[in-house]
Amino acid sequence: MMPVRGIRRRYLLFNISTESTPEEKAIWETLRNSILDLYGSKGLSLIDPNLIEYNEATRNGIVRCTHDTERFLRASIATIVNVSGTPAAVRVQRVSGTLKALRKKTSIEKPKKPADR
Amino acid sequence: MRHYVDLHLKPSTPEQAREMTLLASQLGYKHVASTKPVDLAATRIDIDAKQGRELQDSLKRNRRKYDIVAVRCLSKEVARIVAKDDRVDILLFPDDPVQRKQNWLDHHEAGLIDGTGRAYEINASELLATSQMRLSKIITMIKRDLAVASRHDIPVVLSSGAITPHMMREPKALTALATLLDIDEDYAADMLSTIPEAILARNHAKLEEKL
Repeated sequence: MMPVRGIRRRYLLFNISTESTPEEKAIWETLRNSILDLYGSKGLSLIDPNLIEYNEATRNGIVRCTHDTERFLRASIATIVNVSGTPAAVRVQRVSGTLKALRKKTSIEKPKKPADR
Repeated sequence: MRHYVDLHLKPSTPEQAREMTLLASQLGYKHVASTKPVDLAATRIDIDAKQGRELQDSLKRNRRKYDIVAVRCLSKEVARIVAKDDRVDILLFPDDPVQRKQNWLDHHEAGLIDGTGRAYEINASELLATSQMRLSKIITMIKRDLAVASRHDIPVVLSSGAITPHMMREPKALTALATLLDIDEDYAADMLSTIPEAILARNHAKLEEKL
């Protein structure tokens, strides 16, 4: 059987500096629109971003992209100047090839899923 | 290891200047230059000049007081003087695309700057907080200037041009923004490290010599 390697990813840990407390949905929309504005639909599909998690208390989040489009995602993140109408700056703090390594490096715990009833 | 340098912070108050200098250090910059005097930052003046006489007066008054002297060329007359004047470190062109149509880094200007060590500056703030239409115009104009600068070996400096802490970004974000201008990753890193560092070192040596 032909060996097939999975798509390589990059995981970026970011922090949002803002006066308000933006929700995860607002962050994702801002990020997606920023990529669309800079690189269009084709770019969005190449970058294939995904907001893995976002902690409203610490304002830290993890976003994923394909490994060769990290610079484009960084540029898109850098152009964000407001979230939900409030001035904001999104700064990437750490990058890793796996989610596990990123969590280990930054001592972020895996969010617990709500218990099934 | 690279030492990142942001040569253009534009705080509005001394308190904000302190806050921005501290943030720059947290973001990984080794040196910064601020238009408001603050500890641990080099001093910088931005001269906006439209006429040759006012530029000459301002240069005479300020050259020795500041580590970095940058001139925003608001007319061709000023641009030509700047190209020939050793007291200027950095030249800028208007942010406004309409004004920039009449005033840009042309080949004649670049020929005069060639070999003098004066640098052309790109401010990342020009690429932020702007509409798609305006951004596309700005990218086209900067790319045109960069093509001329590259042909004449004019050093290019990448700075934040931040007026508030929210406009400041980490060095890797600024080099990533340079992809919008089709700048190679290594050269973008040089624009934010070795090139501005050399300008600062040269000017510190000159100012100490004069003292």
